[in-house]
Amino acid sequence: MSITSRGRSVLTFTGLLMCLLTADLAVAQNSNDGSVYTRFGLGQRHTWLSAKGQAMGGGGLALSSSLYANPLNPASLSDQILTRFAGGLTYESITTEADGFDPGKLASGMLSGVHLTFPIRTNKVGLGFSMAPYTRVSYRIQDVGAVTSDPSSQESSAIIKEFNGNGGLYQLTGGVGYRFSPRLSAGASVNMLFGILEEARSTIFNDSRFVDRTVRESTRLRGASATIGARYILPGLPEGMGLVLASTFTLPTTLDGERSSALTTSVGRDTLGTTTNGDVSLPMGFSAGIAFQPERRWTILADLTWEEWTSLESDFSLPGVPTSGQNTLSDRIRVSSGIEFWPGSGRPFASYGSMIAYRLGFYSDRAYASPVADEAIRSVGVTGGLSLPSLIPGTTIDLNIDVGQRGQNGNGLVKDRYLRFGLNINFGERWFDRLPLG
Amino acid sequence: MTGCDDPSNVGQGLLDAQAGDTRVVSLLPNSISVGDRSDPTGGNAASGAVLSLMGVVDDPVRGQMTSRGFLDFVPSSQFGSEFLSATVDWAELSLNLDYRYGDTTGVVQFDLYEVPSDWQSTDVDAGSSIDLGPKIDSYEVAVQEGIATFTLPPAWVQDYDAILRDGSFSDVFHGFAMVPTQGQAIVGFRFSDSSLRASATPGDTVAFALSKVGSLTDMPDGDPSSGRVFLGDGSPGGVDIRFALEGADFEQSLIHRVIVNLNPEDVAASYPPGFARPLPAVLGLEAVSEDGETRLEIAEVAVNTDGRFVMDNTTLTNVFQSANLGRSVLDRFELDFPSDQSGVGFFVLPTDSAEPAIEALITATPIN
Repeated sequence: MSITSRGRSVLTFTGLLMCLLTADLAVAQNSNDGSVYTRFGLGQRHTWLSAKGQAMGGGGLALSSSLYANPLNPASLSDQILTRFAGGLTYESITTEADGFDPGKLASGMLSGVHLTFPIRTNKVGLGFSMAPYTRVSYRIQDVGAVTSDPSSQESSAIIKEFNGNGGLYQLTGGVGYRFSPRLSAGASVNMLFGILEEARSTIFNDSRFVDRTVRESTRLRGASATIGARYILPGLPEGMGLVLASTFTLPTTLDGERSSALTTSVGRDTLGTTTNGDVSLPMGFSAGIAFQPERRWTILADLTWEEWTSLESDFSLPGVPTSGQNTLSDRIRVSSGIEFWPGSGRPFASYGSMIAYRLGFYSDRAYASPVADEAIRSVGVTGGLSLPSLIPGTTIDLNIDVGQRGQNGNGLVKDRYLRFGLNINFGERWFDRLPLG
Repeated sequence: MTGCDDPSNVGQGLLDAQAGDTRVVSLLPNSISVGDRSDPTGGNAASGAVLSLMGVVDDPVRGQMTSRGFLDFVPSSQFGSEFLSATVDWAELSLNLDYRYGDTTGVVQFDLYEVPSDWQSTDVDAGSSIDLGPKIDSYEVAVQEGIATFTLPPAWVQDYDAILRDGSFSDVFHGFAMVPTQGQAIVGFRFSDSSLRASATPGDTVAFALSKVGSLTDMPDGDPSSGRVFLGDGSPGGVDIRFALEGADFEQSLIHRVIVNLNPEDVAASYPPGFARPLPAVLGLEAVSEDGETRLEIAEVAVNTDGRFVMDNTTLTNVFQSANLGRSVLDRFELDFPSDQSGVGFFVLPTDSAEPAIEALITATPIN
């Protein structure tokens, strides 16, 4: 076997992009200017199937395309012609408001996900690897006040209390898909989950007589889970029309963890107490999706995800996870739907404008953790996107947008209005071809 | 990719349950006791004590204090042949009296002794002992600032004629001890302008410069059970302070600032008019391990205009923080006076007063 010259160039480019994304990952983990809701539980839950699905409401479990891989449904890995690498970054701007407070503006960036998929046998057996955030913690809240430091003189000093969190869990997935028949595919994947959840509380004085101090608590978690998936193409539809059903089931698992705390100042770090070990159980999850193509140019999706987070148990105290009685956990339910219009579908020599795919979608996501009992935190949003073809066949640049709202004012809660931009690069290339005379 | 932001306090209501408020806690020592650290009372021209104290006084507050002073001399220059070849027939101590504690209108009578063996000024503290040699003579000195002279008896001069003119003077001669016999004051003699003068006939008068001083003062320590301890300069026992900074006494906290106020009792009304009572102007604070081997100098502060000492720095804050986290090898605080402040002045620290003599104001945020 050999790698074509174009394949080598794509491989090189892919490697560089991976490095950039890995560097970004490290930095993005340090940014902590997101929603306060990311503080609760293990962080805000994230799912990234593909750039295409992200622009169509964030679903796409039933999607299968020669242009996009879908590693979160291992069944779809069977339908591959090209070796494909895709990755994306998301920039998020949040305006957050609550009763009695001035609005705050926050912005941060993060890795949407990366994946590499390739066929073992074209449209029969395929492998895929992906890495994407599973949860994300990213928040920063400042409160400015004053403290009377010397009662005898009534001397008062300004004080800034800053609460921030960052980190989250990442999911590294390796899966295989197999097509049992032209209509039925199935697959399985192993998901490695790992990451660090970090919370810090700083007390800052703009006065050299005071010592600024920060308490930092880090919880390191790691474990593995498994997902099985199936995908079925309904028979009996007219030529040019397609209807695909898909579902996945993710097994519950338990993450091993250790937690440590430290006191830091500008000159040093002092461990507090001893490192504690414990487990955190992750729930099972079920997803189902449907994709319908009334004709080649149109694709319509609908997806449902359910995760049984009410069964979450943790040996560590986690914000929003009750130790007794309080009902602050919910099963996560996410529904989404989207539509794509691709004027140039099936017309390889159409104009460039016709080759752009236009996408629209919406979603509703009930978060699994809430700061207030019996108050579910919902996100609702509208998504959109463009898929810009490149000069290299099978390679696209996908621009996505997501406008939404999370939470609500009142009852001590916060309303976030967010705007997300996604930049995704999606390479497809034929690799490992046997030379004609080889 | 990094975040850019205008962070606000939106969402703070969702954190309150886990966010301790920063506050100022007034913490009194759980013990103020007499320590075992003797104040350094020896010095030489380069460092240490600058006065040799001598006298006896019945202090109305502290009781009787008796100071024995020690002096040693070295030739101040290379003496000329006219002195070295002649016979010494006169010698006197010329001492610069510039410290007075007690009745300044009277005199202090004292006996002058030889010191029979070598002593190191850097080893002398309030708890030391220095042997006395033969008595030389008895004197008295008026409790007045200025140069006081004490002529040495001819017999002593005759005995020391050769030694005073010998190059090994410093090795053979170990100084004088002044032991008070009567009086109502303690006086101090300073290095500058103090000397042992001698003359030979025919020949010059030469001076031996004061090279070492030392003072040993007997004074009551004070008893915490009596409700007060004395924090005194030149005391054989210092004052130890302990704060309960761990466990149930003080929850684990972020400690941002510590101010230690030391507010001695005002005892001026206990003294009669004319009783001179110079007090130390600078007070030091050290954190000390249980075995006394590890010492961390925290602060030396001057007295405030209102008579208080206020210690406030980040070293002090960090010592409190380490102790609060149970990570400190330091066991207690010791109060002391810099050794270049030589005297017998003292402060009275009530141990059971409603007005605390020592108070720590701690700006802290509970961790949990």
